[in-house]
Order: sequence, then C-alpha cells, then structure tokens
Amino acid sequence: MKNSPVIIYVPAGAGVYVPASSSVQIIGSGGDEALPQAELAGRRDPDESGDASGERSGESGDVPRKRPAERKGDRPRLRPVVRQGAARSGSPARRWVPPAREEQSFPDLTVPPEIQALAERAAKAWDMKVSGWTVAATKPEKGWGAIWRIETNRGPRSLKLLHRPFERNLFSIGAQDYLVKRKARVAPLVPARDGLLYTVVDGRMFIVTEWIEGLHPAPKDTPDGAALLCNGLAEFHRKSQGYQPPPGAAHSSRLHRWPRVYRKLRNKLDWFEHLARAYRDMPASPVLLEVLPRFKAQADEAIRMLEASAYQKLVARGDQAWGLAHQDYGWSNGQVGPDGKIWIIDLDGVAFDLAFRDLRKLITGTMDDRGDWDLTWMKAMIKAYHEVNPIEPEAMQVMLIDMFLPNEFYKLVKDVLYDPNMLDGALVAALQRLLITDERKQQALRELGLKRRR
Amino acid sequence: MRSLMICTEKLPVPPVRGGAIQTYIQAVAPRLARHHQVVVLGVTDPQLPDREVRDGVEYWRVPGGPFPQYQQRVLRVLSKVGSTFDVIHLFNRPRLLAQAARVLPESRLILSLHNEMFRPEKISPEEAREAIAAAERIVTVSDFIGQGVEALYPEAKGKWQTIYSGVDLNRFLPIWTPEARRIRQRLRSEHGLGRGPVLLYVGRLSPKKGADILVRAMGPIARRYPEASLVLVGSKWYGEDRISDYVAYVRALAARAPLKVHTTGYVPADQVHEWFAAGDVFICASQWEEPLARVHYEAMAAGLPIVTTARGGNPEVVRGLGNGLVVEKPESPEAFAQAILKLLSDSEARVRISRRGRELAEAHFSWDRVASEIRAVWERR
Repeated sequence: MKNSPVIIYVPAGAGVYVPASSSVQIIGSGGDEALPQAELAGRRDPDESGDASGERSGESGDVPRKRPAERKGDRPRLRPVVRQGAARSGSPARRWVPPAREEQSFPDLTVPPEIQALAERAAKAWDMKVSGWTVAATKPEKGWGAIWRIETNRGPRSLKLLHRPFERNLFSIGAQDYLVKRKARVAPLVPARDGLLYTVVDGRMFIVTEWIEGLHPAPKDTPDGAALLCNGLAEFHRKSQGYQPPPGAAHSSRLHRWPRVYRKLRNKLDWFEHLARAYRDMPASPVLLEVLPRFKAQADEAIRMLEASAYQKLVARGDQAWGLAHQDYGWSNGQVGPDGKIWIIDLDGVAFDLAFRDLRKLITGTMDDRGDWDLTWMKAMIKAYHEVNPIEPEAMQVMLIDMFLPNEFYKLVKDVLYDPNMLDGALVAALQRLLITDERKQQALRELGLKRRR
Repeated sequence: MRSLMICTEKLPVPPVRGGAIQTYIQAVAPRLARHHQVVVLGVTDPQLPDREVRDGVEYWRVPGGPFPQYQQRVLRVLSKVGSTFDVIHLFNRPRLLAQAARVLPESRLILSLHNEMFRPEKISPEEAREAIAAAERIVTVSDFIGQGVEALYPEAKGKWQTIYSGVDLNRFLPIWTPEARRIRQRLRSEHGLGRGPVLLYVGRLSPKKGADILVRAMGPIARRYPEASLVLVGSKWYGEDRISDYVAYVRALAARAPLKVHTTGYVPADQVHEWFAAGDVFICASQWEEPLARVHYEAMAAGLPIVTTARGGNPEVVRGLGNGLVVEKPESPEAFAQAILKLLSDSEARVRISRRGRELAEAHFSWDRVASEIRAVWERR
C-alpha cells in the first residue's frame, strides 16, 4: 500500500484527509452521488443519547427540514470545537478542500491521521489488497467511528471502525452475521484471516463487509416507496427473530424500556417549561408555555395508555420472539438494491425490542418530514409491513400509543436545552405549524383505531 | 485470620479512577490488615501492577470487563485458593456470592451491599435466595438497603446489619481550622466567589441527583443574599465530547440563575475536600431512593450544615441528629430554598450545627470505626 497511489473519492461538500505518507490522487468531486452512509456523522447513539424518542434528525435524509439552517440537530452538535480548530489550522498532513456548495449540514468527511493509520493497520487483518480509500462517513464523537469504502482486489468493500464498547459491538456483529445466514438483505461480513468477523487494533474494533453496489434511496414522492421500505423492514424483523447473542456479547435489549423512555420524555417537557420561564423574554417562550399543557397531557395519557395496554403481555414473550429492531431505520439506512428490494445498512445499533418500534419511527418521521399526517401513506406503510410480518391488534394498539406520544413536539423543542437562543421567532412559526399538523395527527390516529379511554 | 475481599468488576482498587466501593475498600483494608492477613481481589488497571503489596494489604488483580467474564475469573481464583481463606468478603455482587458458595460450600462468605442489588431486575429470586442462604452476614451501608432486602426476602431478617460508611477525618478538615480557611480564601478568590455564602453541591449532574431543582431554588435566596453563590462540584459541564440533555438543561438554567452559579467540572477525588472547605452550607438534592451518599460524611467532617432529602438512606445520618435539615419534598425548589434560608439566616444555629456535624463525624464516621465493625463481623464478635 505504501507505494501504490491512494485514490480519494471526494463527496460533495467534504473536506478531505490526505494521508501524509502516500502519493495521492483525487478523483472526481463526488457530485450528487453521495454515499449511502454519509449522513452518519452527526447522528446520535440510540443507546446513550438520552433522546427519549430514540429518533435522530439525520434520519430525515434529504427531505427538507422546517428550519434547515438553524436546526442544530442537523449538524454533529457536539463536535469538539477544539478538534475542529486544530484540524483547520493544524498539521501539514491535512488538506481541506473547501465545500463545493454551501451545505452547512454536510459532515466533514475526514478522519485524523491516527485514525486513518489505525484503519490501514486494521485492513491488514483481512486477506485482501487495498488499492483505494474513501472516507464514507465519520462520527467524531465518542472517540471516533468511521466508515471507509475500500477498493480491494476482491472488489469494493466497506471497512468500519465501530465506536461502541467491545461487548456491544459483539452483539451487533453477531446479529448481522445471523441475519446474513438467514438470507436477510444486509451486507455480508467478511471474516478476517484469523476467522473472526472483526479485528481489534489498539483497542479499537473494525469490521469489513462487502460493499453493496448500486443502492439508491426509495422514491419519496408516492406511498409506494414508503411501502417498499416497510416491506424490507418487516423482512428484517422476521429474519432477526431467534437471534442468540454470542458468549461475551452485551445483551442489548430495549424491550422493557418503553415505560422509562416515556417518563423521560415527559420529564423533559417539564424542563422545557422551566427554561421557557427562565427565558421568558425570548420570542418563543410565551407560545411554548401556552402549548406545553397540551403536549404534557398527551405524554401523561400515553403513559397511562401504555400501562393499561397489552405491552407487558407482549414483552413477556421475550427478546427472541420479537427479534431485533434496527433502531435507526429510515430512508437512508434502508435503500433499494439492484434487485429492487430493500437492503438494510448500518446495523451497529440493533437491539431487541418490540420490533414494530422501527415502523412507528419510520411512519411518524416520514409524516413529520412531510408536514402532514396522510392516512393513505400511513395505511400503505402499515399494510406493507403487516403483509410480511403481521401486527396483531394488541400490538397495533401499542404502536398507536407509541405514535400518540408527542415525539414530534419533543424533537422540535429539544434543541432549546442546548441553546436557549433557539427560543426564537422561527420556533414560534414551527410551533404554530406543529399545532396544525398535530390536529391532523390526532385525527389520523383516531382513524387508525387508537382507543383512548376518556 | 486470612481474609479475601472481592471488589466489583467496574473499577480498580486503589481508586485511581474513583468509585465509592473502591474508596471504601482502600480505606478499610489497611486498617483490617493490622489484625489479619488481607488480600484484595479486584480488576487490573494499566496504572497498577497485577500483584502488589501496599499498606500491608496484598492486591491480586484480574481483568475486569463485563460481569460474567469477571465472575468466571474470580471463581477460577476461588476454586484454586479460596479454601485457604478463613473469610471471603464480597462487595455488592450477591450473584457472585451465590456462585462462590457453590465452589466453596464450606467457606464463610460475607456480603457487603452498597446498592439495591437484590432488586428483581438485578437478580433472580432463586439466585437471591441462594445468596442470602449462603451469606453468613450481610453488611449494608444503610438501614434503607437492609430493609429493602428484608422486604423482598424475609429470610434475610437477622442476617443483615448496617455499618455506616466513613470519611477521612484528616483530609476533610472543619471549615474553622486555619488550613481550611486558607483553602477557602484561595478557592473563593480564584473563582470570584465574593463574600457571600457559598452553597455547595457535590455529585454527578444527573436527574437523579437533583442539581436542576437546586438551581431553580435560587430565587428566594438571591433576594435575601444577592452575593451568595451556588457551586456545583463534580460532573462534566463543558465536555469536550457531547454532554447529556440534562447537563445542557442545567447549564441553560444556571445561565439565567439570579445568583452566581459556579461549576467546577470534574474534580479529582483527592481534591474534592478543598471544595468542602470553601462551602457554607452543603446540599444533597437527591431525588432518587439513594442508598446513602458518602458526601454526607464528608460534609459532617468539614463542619458544613447539611440540607438533604428524605430519600433512601440519606436521612438516616441527618434526621434528629442536629447536623442539618431534611427536605421532605425533594421535588420542590421552594422546600430547598426554605431549608437553605433557615440555615443562612441563623448564624448561631449554623455554628452549632457545624460543630455537631464534626463531632458526629469524629465519634461515629471515621474509617477506624468502620474497619473495627467489619473486623467484629469477621471475628464473629
């Protein structure tokens, strides 16, 4: 690798890391052919984010946001300023290609030299010759995670630096392998020379998978694309049933966590109120205080409804019966492959759960992004899922309760915790829009059969 | 007598990375080693050798990791040499004790409980019963913990006893000593805390610990004592990595607080006592059923009047003892404001409460006392 030229693919808007030691050739600008995982940066970890709904704004893909420029959630929020600064002014080993177009939310696709060096060492654990490196996604938080597309003598592959703890990764790797063996449409893991599905270099864990060529997002303009996504999701859930984590793996289950997640969200609504009072001079504070009772009541009711539901009975069936939820499924982690079917990528957050939680998040996320709760879409999505992995009536109620939780309100306001300056005019407008769509949401949930007990 | 103390899988002893149980073992083991041969079995750390003798205590270290792996390593040690010990004292892992009893059915096993480890989500009823049956004694850090076990498993009755934890009386000096005053002056001027009273909070920033309630309680205090400041010692504040939603929330509250809120960020364990010297009132705002936070002992040793909450074991070392006040409604900022104002407004009472705190610490909460009670358990006295 030392003497061979390094080919670097430059996605639009990306800064490029150039290894110090190698001769470098930069090809193309990446154009619009953004790599599938490119939105990984800036995502938050479903396990540790404290994000009560578990949803990440990155999931919305290229659906326009309501307040694109100001939304902190679209950027890697807590990227250490220090690192960024150091990188820009830093060592001669780095070169920054200025963004091709103004796109604030696009991640800087570079990794520090030591991470690149680590990856190059890790790649040697596999029986392959790497001729090209492309940083496809980065996650600078928590000591770096990253994905490279590597060109090898055995075809294009993906090398991934995992950012979670070792035992947690074992769980996800085992899951991915299980899914591959059950012929799910996920990227096959490539065993290293020693037969393991991963390698560890300096305490950091790497995996290699085949690169699925030709993935493209499902069409977004009609319910068909959404239905396709749901189809693929249902298949994924079915095939994940029965998974037994390998010895030494963390047992990652969110099956019993729902009540806690609901309470956490409810508590945070109180935090919103306290901040709106502390910052009552900000434009959005009065509106926020006015609408909070509505959403608190919804959260309280969701908590009561979950308690009264079949939730406990359903979770009692156990992890293996329900299988794995992807936890970060959306229009970018599920994409259409050359076979016309949905392929699912980025599996490192998978956890046992009432698997339809993924479906709930996909539906509400899609509706929220569309700014409308269109019953046609919702029904088409549920139907498409149900055809492959049936949802019994009791489970359906639980999913509707989960939709009833004011996830969208929570997501809209939560960045205020990080920056109370966001209690601004734009939030006023967004809250007013949300109130309208929330009416539509309630109506849709009624028509889908949510049983409220008032 | 030869005794083996078995630490948890999380952090090494001595507590180079912190940890309440680790601090506890480090304090008592050398004192016990004056009377018995003591071996501490715990996890390895890059900063520590795998085997060493220090302060008369022998340390054996095996790799940590997730509990099942650690448990296996410990059991391997026990099956090899466990029978050479007269007493095996396990910390906070009843499941490990149940397993140890299978390997060593004849050994005397003692369990120290620092948390609610018998709760159903932590241990199955079968294992719990096995552990209780196998334990000769169960030593708890508070009555709250012991009663909790007994409520779930009545057979634990008569088996558990509370041994309250302790504090380093030489490190945590009362605020009226010249040395503490010097530290106080230095910290106050370093951090611009002015002349007003300093309200001290020490602990992680998490919803369970209630720092948010405290920040929200500052209104009435600022009206009476505009120069007062609230000092939050401990947790990550301006993290290099991401901070939690909660820390962001408390930070946003603090930015609008009506008085100065000073946050220290992480303070190494060997420097925390300095902040106690700088305080005027100590506040534990815990919202959760806490086993019994050790900061209470530290506050007493420092001679700080305590405001604590009626949660878990916390009131056991404050209520009726004349060393502070217990807030009965911990979720209420007003209740905290009231308690704090009560202490601030009566300087005579405050002095009395301060002295009483130090007296109690010296009489009941020294590490010597803790070690001698553990020794009595070992010696079946």
